[in-house]
Amino acid sequence: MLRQQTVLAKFGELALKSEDLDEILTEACRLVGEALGTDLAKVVELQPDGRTLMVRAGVGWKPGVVGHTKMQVDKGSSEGHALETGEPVISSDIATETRFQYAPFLIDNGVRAMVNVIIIGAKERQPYGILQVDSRTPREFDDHDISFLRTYANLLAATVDRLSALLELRENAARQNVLLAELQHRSRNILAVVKAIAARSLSASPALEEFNARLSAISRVQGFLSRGQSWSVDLGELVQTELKAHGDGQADKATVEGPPVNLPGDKVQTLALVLHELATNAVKYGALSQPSGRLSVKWSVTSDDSPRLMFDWRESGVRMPAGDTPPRHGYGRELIEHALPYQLEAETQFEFTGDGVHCAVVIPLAILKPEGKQP
Amino acid sequence: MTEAASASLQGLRILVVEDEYLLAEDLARNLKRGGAEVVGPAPSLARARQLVETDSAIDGAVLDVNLKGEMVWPIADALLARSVPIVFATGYDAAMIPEHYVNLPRCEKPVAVHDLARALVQDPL
Repeated sequence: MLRQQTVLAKFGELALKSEDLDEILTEACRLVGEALGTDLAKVVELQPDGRTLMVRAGVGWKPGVVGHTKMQVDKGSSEGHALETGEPVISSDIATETRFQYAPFLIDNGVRAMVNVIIIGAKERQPYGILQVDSRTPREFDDHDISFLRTYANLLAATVDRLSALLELRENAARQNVLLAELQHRSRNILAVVKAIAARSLSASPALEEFNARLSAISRVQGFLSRGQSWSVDLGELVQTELKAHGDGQADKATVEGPPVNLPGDKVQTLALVLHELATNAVKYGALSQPSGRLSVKWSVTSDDSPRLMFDWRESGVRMPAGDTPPRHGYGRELIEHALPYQLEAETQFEFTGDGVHCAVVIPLAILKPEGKQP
Repeated sequence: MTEAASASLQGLRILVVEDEYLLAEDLARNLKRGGAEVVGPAPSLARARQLVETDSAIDGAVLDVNLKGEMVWPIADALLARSVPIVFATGYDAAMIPEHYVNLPRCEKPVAVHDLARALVQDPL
């Protein structure tokens, strides 16, 4: 009795911890064989056809049985009887047993006695299979043994059910990731098609180049999103990529510094466009256009009750040449002053200091939580 | 944009609810060109609710269905209760729209003003 209770406790612990069905079933067989002193046990799994049983796990068997041996469920077998009645079926000595036929591999493995206890299925599903404790010597299984085995088999049933639900969830999540990646891939394709159409429909002009560059910035974001599983982009990576897209060799002029900040896919686009406009202007007129120019891009996250992302783009050492002034009311500025507040509840500041452009953006972090909105 | 369509929105006050700035801005600009006065645009359910509650002279509305994860239905209900014609601006197909609203006009994004005019003015509720 005590040994059986210890076995239940041990198995319960494993069943909660492990996510490997074969490990759980094999350990279940080992423990139950130990509890009943037979050192021979198995779990046979009812296949989807409802008529075939396969030895899914077991201990004490010759090689080639576990994972391979199948048998048909028929009324003449003890397994068929167990599945039909749902009750434990005991064969104390199969040499003298007249009710049932026994599978050849049982005889081959020297089985003389066995008990079948059904492992029920989840609601409205067929039974998972049968827990079978076998013995190489004839033996009785008393009421204590049977009630222990019933408890044990029910624990197994719950575990099997938990694992199959888990597996289903994972499969769904994996399928969803595949779909999302496909969607992202198609979005990029469409952007490329739009670019091609624009190139054929519009004559070459600075405006067309600007349009293409903006489309490319959006396309890069889609590329990021299709790559990861989380459908988000790290701010640092976004900044680096945007700077790199405007030409290598800027590394010694730019300092980029800040903690990891995850930008969910549905929020990142406007910010990417803003970074694109800032970088474009820096390359054309600002810090990245002059030998003395420096660019510092820094951000931090406040740690108060309502944390905010504090983003700061500061150019310095920029001499504004007379006559060739940057557009003071350009697209970038509109995005910073109107789009960011509209879409991300940001507070923004954009100014031309004597030294170069300075742009500060403060975004409530709560806004940057993914909300499951589809693209 | 056709003459008839642009004339039909003349002087009407149209509420725009759309969480994507570039789309909201584009639609608002086109509506103004078409002679309409724009209420909003509103980027969120909360802002839209505020506008609907404080503005009693809305003649029509274009509603994005999904606002940063919140569905626009409460705004639709409030406007319908006032007999204000509405159009859903959406990429969703009909299967995603609750049955209660399936008979209301929808426009694909990006919303063209002449489609909007037809839906709001020529098919009054």
